[in-house]
Amino acid sequence: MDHHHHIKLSDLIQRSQPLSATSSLSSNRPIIKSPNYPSPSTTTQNPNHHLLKTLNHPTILIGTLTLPPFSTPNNTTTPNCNHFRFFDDSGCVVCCDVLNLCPKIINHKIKINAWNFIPGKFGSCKGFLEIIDLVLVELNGDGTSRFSNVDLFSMSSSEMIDGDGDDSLKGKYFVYGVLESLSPVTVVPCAVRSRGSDRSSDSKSVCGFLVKMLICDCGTCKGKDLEILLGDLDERKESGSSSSSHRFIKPMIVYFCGSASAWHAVITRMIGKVFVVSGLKKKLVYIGKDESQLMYVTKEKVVLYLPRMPKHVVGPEKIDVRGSGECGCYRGTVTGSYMRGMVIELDREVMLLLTEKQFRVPHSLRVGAIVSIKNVHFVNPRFPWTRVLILGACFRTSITVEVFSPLETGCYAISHSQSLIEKFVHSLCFCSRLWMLLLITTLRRKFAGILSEKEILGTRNREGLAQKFASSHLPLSAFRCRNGVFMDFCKHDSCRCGGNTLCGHLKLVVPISNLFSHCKVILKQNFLEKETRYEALDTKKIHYSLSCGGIIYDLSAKRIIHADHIGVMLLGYLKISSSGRLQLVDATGEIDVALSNLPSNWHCNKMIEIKDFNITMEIPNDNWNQKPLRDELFTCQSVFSTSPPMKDINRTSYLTCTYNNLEVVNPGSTSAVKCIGNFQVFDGGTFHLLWLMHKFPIINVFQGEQVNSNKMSVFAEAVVLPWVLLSEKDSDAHLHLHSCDRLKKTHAYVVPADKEIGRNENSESVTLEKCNIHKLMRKHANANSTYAKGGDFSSGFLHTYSCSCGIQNSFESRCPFQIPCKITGKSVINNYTGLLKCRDFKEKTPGSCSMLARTVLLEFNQESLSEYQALKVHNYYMLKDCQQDLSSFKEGIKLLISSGMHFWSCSISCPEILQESNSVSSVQSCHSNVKKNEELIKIDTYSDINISIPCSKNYDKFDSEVSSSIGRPSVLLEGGVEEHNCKRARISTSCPSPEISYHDQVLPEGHLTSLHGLVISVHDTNESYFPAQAAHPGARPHPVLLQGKSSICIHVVTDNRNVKISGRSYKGAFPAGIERSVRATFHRILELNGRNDYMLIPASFVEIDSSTPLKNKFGDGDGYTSPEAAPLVPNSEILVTENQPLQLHCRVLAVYVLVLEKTIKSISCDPESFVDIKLAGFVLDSGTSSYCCWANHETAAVLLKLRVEKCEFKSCNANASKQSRKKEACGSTIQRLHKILQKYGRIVVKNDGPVHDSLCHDLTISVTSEKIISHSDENILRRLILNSCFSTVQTVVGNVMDDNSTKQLEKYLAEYQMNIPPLQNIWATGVHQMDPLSEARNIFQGLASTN
Amino acid sequence: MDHMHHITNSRMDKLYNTHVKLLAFDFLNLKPNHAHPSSFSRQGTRLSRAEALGVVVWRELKPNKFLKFSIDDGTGCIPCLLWLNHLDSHYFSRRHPSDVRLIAELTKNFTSEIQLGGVARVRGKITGYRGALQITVSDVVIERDPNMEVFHWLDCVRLARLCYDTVKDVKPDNSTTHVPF
Repeated sequence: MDHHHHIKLSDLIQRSQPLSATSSLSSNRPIIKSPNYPSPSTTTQNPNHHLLKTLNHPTILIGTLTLPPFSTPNNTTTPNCNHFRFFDDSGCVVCCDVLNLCPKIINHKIKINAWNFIPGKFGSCKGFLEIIDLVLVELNGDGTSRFSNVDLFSMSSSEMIDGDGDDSLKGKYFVYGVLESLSPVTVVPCAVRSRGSDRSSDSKSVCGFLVKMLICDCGTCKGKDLEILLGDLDERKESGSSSSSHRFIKPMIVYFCGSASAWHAVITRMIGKVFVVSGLKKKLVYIGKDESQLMYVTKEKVVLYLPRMPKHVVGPEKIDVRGSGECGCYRGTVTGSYMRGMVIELDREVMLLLTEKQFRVPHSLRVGAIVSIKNVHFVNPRFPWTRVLILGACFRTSITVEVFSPLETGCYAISHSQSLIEKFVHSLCFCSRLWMLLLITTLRRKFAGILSEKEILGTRNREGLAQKFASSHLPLSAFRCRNGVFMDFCKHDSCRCGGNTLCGHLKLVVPISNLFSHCKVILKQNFLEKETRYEALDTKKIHYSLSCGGIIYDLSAKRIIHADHIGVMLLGYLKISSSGRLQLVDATGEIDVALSNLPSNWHCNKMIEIKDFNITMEIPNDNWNQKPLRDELFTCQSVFSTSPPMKDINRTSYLTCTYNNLEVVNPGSTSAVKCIGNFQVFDGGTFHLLWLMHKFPIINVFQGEQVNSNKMSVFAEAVVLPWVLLSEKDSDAHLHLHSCDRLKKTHAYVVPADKEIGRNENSESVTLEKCNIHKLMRKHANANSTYAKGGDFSSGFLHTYSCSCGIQNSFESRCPFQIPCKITGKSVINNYTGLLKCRDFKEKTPGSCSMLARTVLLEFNQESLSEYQALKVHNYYMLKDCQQDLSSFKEGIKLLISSGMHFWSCSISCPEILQESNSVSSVQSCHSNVKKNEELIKIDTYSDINISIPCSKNYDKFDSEVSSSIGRPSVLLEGGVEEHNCKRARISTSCPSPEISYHDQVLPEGHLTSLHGLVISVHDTNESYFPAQAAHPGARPHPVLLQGKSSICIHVVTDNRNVKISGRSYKGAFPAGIERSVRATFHRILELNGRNDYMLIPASFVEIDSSTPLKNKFGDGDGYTSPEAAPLVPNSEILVTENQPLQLHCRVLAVYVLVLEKTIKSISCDPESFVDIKLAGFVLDSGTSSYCCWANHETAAVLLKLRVEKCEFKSCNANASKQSRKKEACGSTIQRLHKILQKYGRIVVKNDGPVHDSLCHDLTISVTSEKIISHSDENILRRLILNSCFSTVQTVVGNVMDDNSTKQLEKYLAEYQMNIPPLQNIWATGVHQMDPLSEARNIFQGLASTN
Repeated sequence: MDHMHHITNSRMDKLYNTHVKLLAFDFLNLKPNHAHPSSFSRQGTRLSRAEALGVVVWRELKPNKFLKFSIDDGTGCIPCLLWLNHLDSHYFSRRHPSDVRLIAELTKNFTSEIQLGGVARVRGKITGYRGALQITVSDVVIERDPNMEVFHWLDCVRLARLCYDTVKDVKPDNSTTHVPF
């Protein structure tokens, strides 16, 4: 002992340094009781955690260990810290925890040989001592009774009972049993009825805890003589008898209250041990209004008897851990502590939730410690984003530290507040609680610096964003009823506090930077899996030579991940970046958003929530193998810990979604957190009509200089049509009564028109118009009387106007001054009638006039960028007259659009034409109608306002007048090329200004056009896109054409031909999402010398067609689709050439070969991933030829009907239910296949029969293992193959295999004694269900164009 | 000349094993090829298999023997025959019994699916019976999407124009003699 240094507590506190004194735990001295330390490497991988500084010599502490001070609660509802206290002669007191506590040491002087000290403030103490090894220095009382084998401890006071302990035997009741569980120490208000007065009572708080024991109900234990029982226990020990007549089967609750409550820390360590408690009284305790429970309550003198032997320990119950909320024990190492200790991570994979504020957790629950958690709920939530085991602590749970942490980590200390969010969290079941805690963490990180803590978390009286957001997403089943400690403890089994585990709907809200890192990991895993698969054929190096000479490798790393696949949703602010792109922004990063159906009345800078989206990510090929894969998936710890940096994120990644999928979140609202849309409501008035000619892209760099984003302006070109729309609200209820008034008002509107007309000196027209209006009024009044009798107003209204056409015709034949119309649309709440009135025209010849349209330049500043963003080229827009008087504008003037000005997108249609289109009876007559119908549908999707002109003649007149005003073709067909205003838009070499000297710099010559088509490839190019011009040999292109970072080449299929569009890539001109398979319109591109070559100029602008369906889900083979797939024209002899990508509408005729393997490792819970299709060869019939189509897993799964493709082109309910049935069928087939593959490993199915008939399969099924395949399994495989031949027409995208690939395939098939069939071999890269309607249209247009 | 004969024949036979998509009026005008009884000729091109789509307008079932039905695509009616005697037929005796049982089961399913008014897509061999053309059906798919009919019409027209009609237009070299079938 002498060589031990003695240190005093005061010294430790003064040093205020985490220390460990474990030198005495040398190998020479066997430490039986002290478990081994976990090695730091196993406890945590956090490099910030260091080992505690160890004193290099044995250092002891001498002092006394006491129970926590018994607090006499007054107003407090929870007691203070209930840890042991240790004090020495220096007068200092610290909290402490003891390994392998023996109650004997309490209140005795002890010598601590090995300990850890953690400084800090723990209530009134200034440090925490972890006692690893101790010896008793002196014993004040021996703590034993006259029964030598039974230790007894008085729980009544801090003093130990005398050896005789006679007093203790005088208790009325005692129990002998095994401890099952105990509750935390709580304070409950208690009414004490005073004697002599029945009614008056004193209120008093009682501090205590409940203990559930299984007690013995034998005659000895039921008797009142404790001495007999103790004697019996003592005798058994003496005789060494192991058999016992005691059976611990009767559950009983004992309430340790008063001074006994200080023993909570001791009793906690006795779970599973047998003991006797005496000094009890029986009480019928009301734990609810109507429910009572018989329990034992400690009296003033309570004694605990611990029989030394035999030690009865109830081992951990062998429970079947299914994770459905059952109770059990868990032992593990603490690897993390999050959310101020509310979440403890164990063994890097288990999350312990400690959110109950009554719960007292040992301070020694530090990262690195090994803990034992008893009576904890095992919950295995089915979150869509991760797999995790939750340990849910309830009021029965107790935690003891078995090995102290050797690391320098902070002690567990949790502070509870009375905020609303804390109460909210407590009211949730465990799954939802973890989700909620993750949500809180995420929101704090996402909006750090944007929203205050109070706005996110709320206060005591006000809900914050987190609570509002969670309330709107959590179903009722996510909440559980809370009844307090007594009720929950006593009625534990009926409380179902394990909760439900079905939480598939609970998507994770993630910071944008986490989303990126997660997607990257998924992509890499997927990539590696596929790479392995491709190795079988050595086709991974297949590349595609494009017609422009560019090369794209097959395994380009662009992938699309759907939100459902990763189970997350996004929250952030929708903003417009300085480059003009829409971005979703939070404090951790930003991502470009390709948003379709953006209404014109949207507002940026709003917080939005997106549930349904696709993420397209592109990672450079050389980046794949740079770093070893790190586990950065959406684990809870990755969300709880800090966000990964955004610096290595490739900027080509973007998000695709539709505006309809956005929900605006209003963090400041007092009630609902979400509101649907933020539309401005149409309120009538006078509007100017505009036709948007062009949008100029945002250019950040101009002539080599960076443009200041604050002063940046962006322009659009529009034609102000010579029409104004006068609109007025209808009052539905009184329409028939006030119809005349309304029409008079309509007439009143005409007055200024009269004046205007008068100004234009067209008095004849004025007379005619007045006459017409009067007739119209009479007609309309008749129609409304019909309505008043029960007729439909709208039809009456339209009918009237239709009838009036005849009258108007005579007038319109000369000049259509005004056209009645009806105003509807998604932004129009009430009924509006309108009048399209010609504002400006001139008479060409007597009786015929032409409209005067003006072209204006719209200038948008930083504040009005959202208006600019929503504008779509070649659409109609309305601008309120009061905002800007456009009539006074002259041709070519610039109009500054301020943030208050709003453009209403509008469509102008005619119901008559629409009805005609809907009643298409024959193919031959549908051409024009299809066009119009398509246009109407298209316009209607985007428009806020629909101006409906009832009379088709009026409409045609209006349309032709507008068309002539703006110089557009009546309809721009899909896949068509519109030559854009040739005269004005032609670029020629003539210098626009004599001041600018071009010297040897040239501008390319050609017409500017708009081109719409299907993008089949986008790639960077180093090729000189600038056309060589014979007239200027050696000339350099003008510098304005060399702006932008790199050159880009886009291949587009339009009008049944492949075209190439190349030029410098201006980020502002390219919306996010311009990639293969989207339909896009390229405005103002320069047509070069060839018919198929176009050039991007700085004024070019690209729009993605909003009707382009969202891409297939992740894993559908998108990554492997060929970069250039031209639709296959039937004359295959001409078009099918080597390496030429092709697209077939075909059906499976036969399966030639199929190689199946069981999946080694699956990252997804998708059942399809259980089966791995190594190779499949299908015989396809397109009606023109047969092909042998070789497919990998994704494509083969679709062709084998193992996967139901998402129906992209229709979303009717019937289809949805059918699809779900199909999915179920697929699931069961896959399950069966999975079982078969589990049995046999690899299965090879060969078809030796003829391949031209679906019924002539001659299948040979072989397995690699030595087993013989059973008939039933064989039948399943045969059925699978036959079934795949009975499918409807599908679209297969692929490439003709070149010689090298064919040879590799030949080699591969030789292993199975097979040859390549004598057919055209195709490597399929994708397959999807064909959309018959759109394909029919394409064919029709193709046929029509060849006529 | 032999070489040219081969080329011409191969071109003429190019569609022989393909299920050509024909409208009823086109199908019903196919000519039997007397030299090759199993083949039929369309403008000189030999065909043996066809695919058609139309509304089922007539059906006659002989249980365990056959189902006869007609499909109407708006240009005419194509008679179809679906054999149901797979378990008894010698034709299938050499096939794997499991396959035969499965095929019998599947054709039974087809029989129940082919109902009057439904739109059926049939694929099979072109055969003649008592001087009339018919399709001996290999498989049937009931199309639920009404647009499939329109697509089929247009697809047939497109294929006829751009593929089936062009096969015969391939002119041999002037120096060689055209060899008829």
